[in-house]
Amino acid sequence: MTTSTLGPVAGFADAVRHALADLPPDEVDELTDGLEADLAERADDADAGADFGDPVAYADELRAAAGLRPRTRARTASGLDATVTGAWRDLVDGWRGVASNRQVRRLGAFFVSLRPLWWVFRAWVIYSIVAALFGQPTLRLSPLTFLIGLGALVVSVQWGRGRWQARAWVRYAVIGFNVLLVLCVPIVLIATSSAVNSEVANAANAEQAGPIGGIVDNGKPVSNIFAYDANGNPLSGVQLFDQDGKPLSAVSSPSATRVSEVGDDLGRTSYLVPSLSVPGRIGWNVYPLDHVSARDLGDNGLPTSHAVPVATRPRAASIPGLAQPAPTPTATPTPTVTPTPTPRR
Amino acid sequence: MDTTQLLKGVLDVAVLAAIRDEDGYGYDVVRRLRAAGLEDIGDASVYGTLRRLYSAGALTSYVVPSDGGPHRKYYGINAQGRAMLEEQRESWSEFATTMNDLLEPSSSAPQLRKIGEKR
Repeated sequence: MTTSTLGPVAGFADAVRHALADLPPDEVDELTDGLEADLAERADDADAGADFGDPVAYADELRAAAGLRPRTRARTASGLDATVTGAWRDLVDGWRGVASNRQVRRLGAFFVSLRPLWWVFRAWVIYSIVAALFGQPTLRLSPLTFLIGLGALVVSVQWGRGRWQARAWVRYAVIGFNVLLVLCVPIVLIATSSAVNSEVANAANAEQAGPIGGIVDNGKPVSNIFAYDANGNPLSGVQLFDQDGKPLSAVSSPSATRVSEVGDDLGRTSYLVPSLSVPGRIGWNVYPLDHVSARDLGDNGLPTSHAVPVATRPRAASIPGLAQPAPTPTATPTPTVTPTPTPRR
Repeated sequence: MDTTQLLKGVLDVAVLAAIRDEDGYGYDVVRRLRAAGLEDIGDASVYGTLRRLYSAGALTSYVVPSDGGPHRKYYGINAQGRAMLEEQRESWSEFATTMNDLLEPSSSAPQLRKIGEKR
C-alpha cells in the first residue's frame, strides 16, 4: 500500500507512519489509510504543492484528533535513530520512575548534603593537577603548594555555592569542567596514593636508618680514629678489631667503598681512603685513615692511580701522657697475683 | 481570536455536518469545511476526527480504488452519527445563544448562566 510512485507524497506518508510507530500496526494502518490519496489531491489543490510541513507535527495532530495517546516511545520503529531515541526515552522514563521513589529521594537528599565533601575533594583534584603542572610534590608543604591549595579550595567551594554562575556559558563551562575533573579523579587518586606510599616509605627508611653503618659514637658516625700511646705520641697504622675479631671499619661496607667523603666543622671536605697496606683496598680499620685531596679524584669520583694519600692530622693539638704507676715496664710481664677461685658458699 | 482553539471544540460536529448529505474521503471533507469558511482547519485534524468518529461507531467506511493512483477511503454517516450530530447541534446552538447574549453590547442587564444550565 505504501508503494506509491508519488515521491514526495510517499516520503511524507512514510515519515508520518514512522512518527506513529509506537501505536499498534493495525491502528497505524487505520489512521493513515488513504493518506497518500489525500496528500496527492492536496498537492494538486494547493499553491504550496508538495510541501506538507513537518511530518511529526502532522502525525501528532492526527493522533490528537483521533483521540489517541500522545507519542511515547517508538518500540516498533525501525532504523538506528528510532532505536537510540527509544532507548534514551526508556532510560529517562526509568530514571524518572526511580527518582520519584520516596526512599530514593531521601537517599538523594543525603547525597546532596554531602556536596561540601565533593567540593573539598574537587579542590584536591584541582590542586593535584595544578601542583603537578608546577612540578610540585603534592604532599610537601611549601609556600607555593599552600597558595595553590588555598586557591583551589576557594575556587571549588565558591563554584559549589553557586557563585560566579551568572552567565549561562559559565554554568556550561562548570559542568564541562566537572566532567573533566571526574575523569581525572582516578589519575589523581593513583598519584596521591603513590605519593603517600613514597612518603610512608621514606619515613620508614628514616626510622630503619637508625643503626648507621661504620663506627658510631653516641649516635654520631665516627669517620676517623686517632690513637696515641701512653706517652701521648700519635700512633699510625693501628689496626682495630672488635670483640669478635672483626675489623672495626670506619665505613659500613669496606670492600665496596673506595673513598669516604667527610666534612669538617668549617665546611671543608676531605676524602678518606683505606690503608694501602691491606691488599684489596679494604683496610678501613687501619687508623688514622689517610686522605686524598679533591683534585686527586677522577671524573668517576674515585682516587686516581697517581693519588698519594696524605696522613691525616688530628684536630687536637697535643695529648698528655698517662700517669704511669709502674716506672719500669718489664719486657715479659710476670703475673704477681695468681687468681685463685674462691668458692662461694 | 485564534480560531484554531475554537475549532478544536467543534471539530466533531463540523465533520459530521460535512458528510451529513454526502459521503466523502479525507481531503474531500477538508475541502468542504474550508469552502464553508473554516479556512484554518488542519488536514490531519480532520483525518484524525474521521478516524475517531468511525471508531466510536458514528461513521461507516469503505475503500474506493482509483486508476493508477492510491486508493481513497470514504466515510459516510450512519444512524448513530446522525443522532450524535443532532445532539451536538443542539448543544452548540444553546452555547452559541449563551455566548451571543453574553457578548451582545445592547443588552441592558445580561443574566449570566452556566453553560448547559436549563433556562
